[in-house]
Amino acid sequence: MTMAEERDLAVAQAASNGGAAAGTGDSGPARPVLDIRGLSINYRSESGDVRAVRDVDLALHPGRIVGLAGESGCGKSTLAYGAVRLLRPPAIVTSGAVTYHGRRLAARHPQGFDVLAADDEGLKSIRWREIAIVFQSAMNALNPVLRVEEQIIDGIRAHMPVSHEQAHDRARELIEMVGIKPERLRAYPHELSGGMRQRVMIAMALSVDPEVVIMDEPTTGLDVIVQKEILKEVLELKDRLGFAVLFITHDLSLLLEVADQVMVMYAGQMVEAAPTADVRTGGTHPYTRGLLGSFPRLRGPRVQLTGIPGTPPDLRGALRGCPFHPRCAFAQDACLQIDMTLAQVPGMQPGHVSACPFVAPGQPLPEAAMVIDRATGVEDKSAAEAGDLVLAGVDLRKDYGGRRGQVVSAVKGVSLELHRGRVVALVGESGSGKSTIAKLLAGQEKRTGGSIVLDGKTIEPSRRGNFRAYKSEVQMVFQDPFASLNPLHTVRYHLQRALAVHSSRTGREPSVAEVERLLGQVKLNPVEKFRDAYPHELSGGQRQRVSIARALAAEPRVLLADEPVSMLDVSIRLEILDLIAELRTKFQLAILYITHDIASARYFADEILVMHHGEIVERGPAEQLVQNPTHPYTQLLIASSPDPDTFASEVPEQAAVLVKEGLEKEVASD
Amino acid sequence: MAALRKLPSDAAPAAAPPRGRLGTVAWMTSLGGVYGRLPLKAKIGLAILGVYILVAIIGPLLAPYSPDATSTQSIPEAPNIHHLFGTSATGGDVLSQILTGTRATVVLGLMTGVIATFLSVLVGTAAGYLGGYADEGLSLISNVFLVLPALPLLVVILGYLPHTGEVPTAIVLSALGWAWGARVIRAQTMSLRNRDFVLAAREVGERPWRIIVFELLPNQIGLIAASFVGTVLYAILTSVALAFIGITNFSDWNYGDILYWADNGSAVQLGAWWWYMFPGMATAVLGMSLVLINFGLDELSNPRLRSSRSLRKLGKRSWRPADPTPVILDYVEGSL
Repeated sequence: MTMAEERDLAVAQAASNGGAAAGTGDSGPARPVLDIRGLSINYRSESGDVRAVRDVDLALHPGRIVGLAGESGCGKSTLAYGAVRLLRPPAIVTSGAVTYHGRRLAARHPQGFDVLAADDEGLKSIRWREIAIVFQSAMNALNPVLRVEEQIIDGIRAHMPVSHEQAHDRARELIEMVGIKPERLRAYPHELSGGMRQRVMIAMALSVDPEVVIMDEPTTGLDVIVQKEILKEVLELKDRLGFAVLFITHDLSLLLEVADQVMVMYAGQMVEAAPTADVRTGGTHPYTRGLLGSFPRLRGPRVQLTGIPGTPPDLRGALRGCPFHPRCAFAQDACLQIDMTLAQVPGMQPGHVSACPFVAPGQPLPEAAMVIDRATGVEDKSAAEAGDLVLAGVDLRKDYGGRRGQVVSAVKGVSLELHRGRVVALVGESGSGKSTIAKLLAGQEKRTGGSIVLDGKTIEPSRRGNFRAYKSEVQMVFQDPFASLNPLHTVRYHLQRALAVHSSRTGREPSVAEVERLLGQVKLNPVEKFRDAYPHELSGGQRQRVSIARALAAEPRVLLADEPVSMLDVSIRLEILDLIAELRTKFQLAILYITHDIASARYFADEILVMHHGEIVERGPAEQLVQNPTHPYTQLLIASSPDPDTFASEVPEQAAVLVKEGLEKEVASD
Repeated sequence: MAALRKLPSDAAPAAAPPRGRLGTVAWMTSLGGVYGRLPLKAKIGLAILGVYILVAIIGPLLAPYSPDATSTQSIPEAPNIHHLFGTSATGGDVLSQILTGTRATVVLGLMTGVIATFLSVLVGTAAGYLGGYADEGLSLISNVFLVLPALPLLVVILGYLPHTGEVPTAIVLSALGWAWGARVIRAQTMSLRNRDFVLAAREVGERPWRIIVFELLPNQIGLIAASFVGTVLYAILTSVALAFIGITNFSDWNYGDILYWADNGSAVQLGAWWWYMFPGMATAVLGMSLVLINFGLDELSNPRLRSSRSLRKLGKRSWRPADPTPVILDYVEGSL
């Protein structure tokens, strides 16, 4: 039996127990430990209040995980932090009730602890002791100048009247519980890897035995293999200790693995809440379905992907009807009239509620829906069909010299070939050296060894006279669209400079007409609006389009895309990948797509190279490699990637050894 | 929190204002607009500095007497209807001396500010952007200048220079005052150098000088301006101090000269408070205006400092950052 099945069974039993209790005269189903009703939170601003959370209900039950999903800005973190009153002004709670029913407080507060009415002292007594939080960035949440041990002990002693020795024993116990050797207690935060820091955060959150744990994107930014380990840990601890979890993440497929109940928020409102099994089969609300359709799947047949076009609405002022209707494939006139009440979805499990009265589960998408398949539906081209070889890296090496003579090899002899009109994906975890390869190929960094071959000729890109000529052939798109545009220059300036630098080779003047042509190519319409905009006026997806347009200004033949979508919201990722794929076809670009997400590589690339510790461990046609991985590391990577259907898919034995090694190496990897 | 990010929707990106070549009038208006949006501290500071600059330009014309005028009397005259700020022991009109002396003081400060800031930017950006040996060398030079004991050195050098006027003083003050700014700008350049938009400019194929001038420098304007203001303040205070101890060009009035003569004429012992109080106040207020401008620039570049206090205020009490989220169940938008 898989873990997911076990959990479902446990849930069913819990439900039947609840029913039995009701039969014996107890009042209704088990009481939630944290009960949020009709909560609304505003951010006051000079241009009108942002209503970030609007009339939301949420109940946490002991021993269960409620997952909260949605795009950034949908209000999920605001809801969680507002409910425990951790937000700062200009945030204010404008309506609702939050009641905490803890075992320890039952005697003093028989009706439950009213969080919204509590004063400073009252809140201090429940924060951490009763409701603990695991923050996203463990590096920021841990104090860099204190040993881990001291931080855990301080946390315990602040809430429990215990001696230093007792607290120390407890700290050892906790750190072992989350899978870290007790010796590591003496370490400072910077001496631990990201995964270990997150484990320390979890240990601290559990240190005084809280009944509710809020986890805010606890594994975002961690590699999939570490992420899987930590999630397993959380599930085991939860089963053992019986706390309730509010799990916040933008990654719906992750929630489908860990949560008992999934709640989806959009524009500050709850649009769907359902038992996980129901969401796994597709969900009901069009927004949930859009989110599900945005994730490329790793297992099973390649299914069609559907993105969500557009961006979330402005949350200032009142919204009329359903806030999702401008982006909804099923939109109709009546959408403007509904009042967004959650109603039981007929034919589904009890407790499966949706705010959309028009769409039934499984209802097929209308013809007009955005279906992204051009890029992804293509069959793997065989090597014989491949276009001409444009750029090749031969035996690339990069060492970073340490101060005391230690040398770190980031790239250890990697060879790869980029052909016209083909996408090669380079997949690896952080620190595997994949971004270094992009920088070497782009000429941004000097190689330690190896050569770069353009059109059959060896070339030294970083040499003074060569650089511009090389840049007109090979362009790179950066990962973070919020950092790669100068905040002080307009879109037009960025594009005109790129056009001007390469005008002698492309024969194009840096004119406004050319700028508009480039914007049209990346579908930033109407171009007049975007031409004179500053970067801060654009959304992440729009900025990434500008970055791509800038790369295209040189009319390159090779595009190096370094994690081009990892900083973007899930719903936008597909659009950007689709754009790159379209440009590939249009200009016969040779593309190197660098990513940590092997599922997206499966959909997007013709060939996949898997990179591990500076070496390529496996390469092959995309579909074939994903279906039949041969190297243990690839197997592990695939087994660890979040997948709605198979959380507990067996990790192959060889791969399991790698995990162990990995965990041991995790010590001070950075 | 991310809800606060001001991003227009795909459908309606904020209409960008037209950005053509601005005419002089439009330019003046836009300058007025910039002033209007400045923090209050910067506004007050700029207004005071504006008065000083005005006096520096037309002050000598306003002076009712010649600052060098003497009379036969031998005791200082208290402020009266003829001499609003009183007179010196030799009958010189203190108001006229201040009005005349403003020019030298302000000119010296601004000149030093310009020269020293130019040096700071040049050395700081070069060291920060180039890195390696260039950085090591330039940093060594600025560190040496940082640890030089400035005041004794000034006394020695300016004492030797014949007929010291503003220009040599400004050059010596700049030479001793640029190093601190250079270190700050170097640090900022180093952090900007590895930002993606600088790498992206390299990726486009831009030359290094263009990256420095058009990508890096505009992002440090706040820092450069603050460094400029700080240097002007340093130059004014130091020049007044130098004049006070007698290292100055006595053919030209400045605030320090008045103080020097007041000290020489035993103003304190005579109880002639006006003789040292008014030039002292003039120096202090000028210094204050520069400090206010610096605070204002700080607020401008760090939005956290100005995060509208009006929004923190809820009803009668204001919220401290450590307080729990306020709960106002009968809240109506705009009611607070």
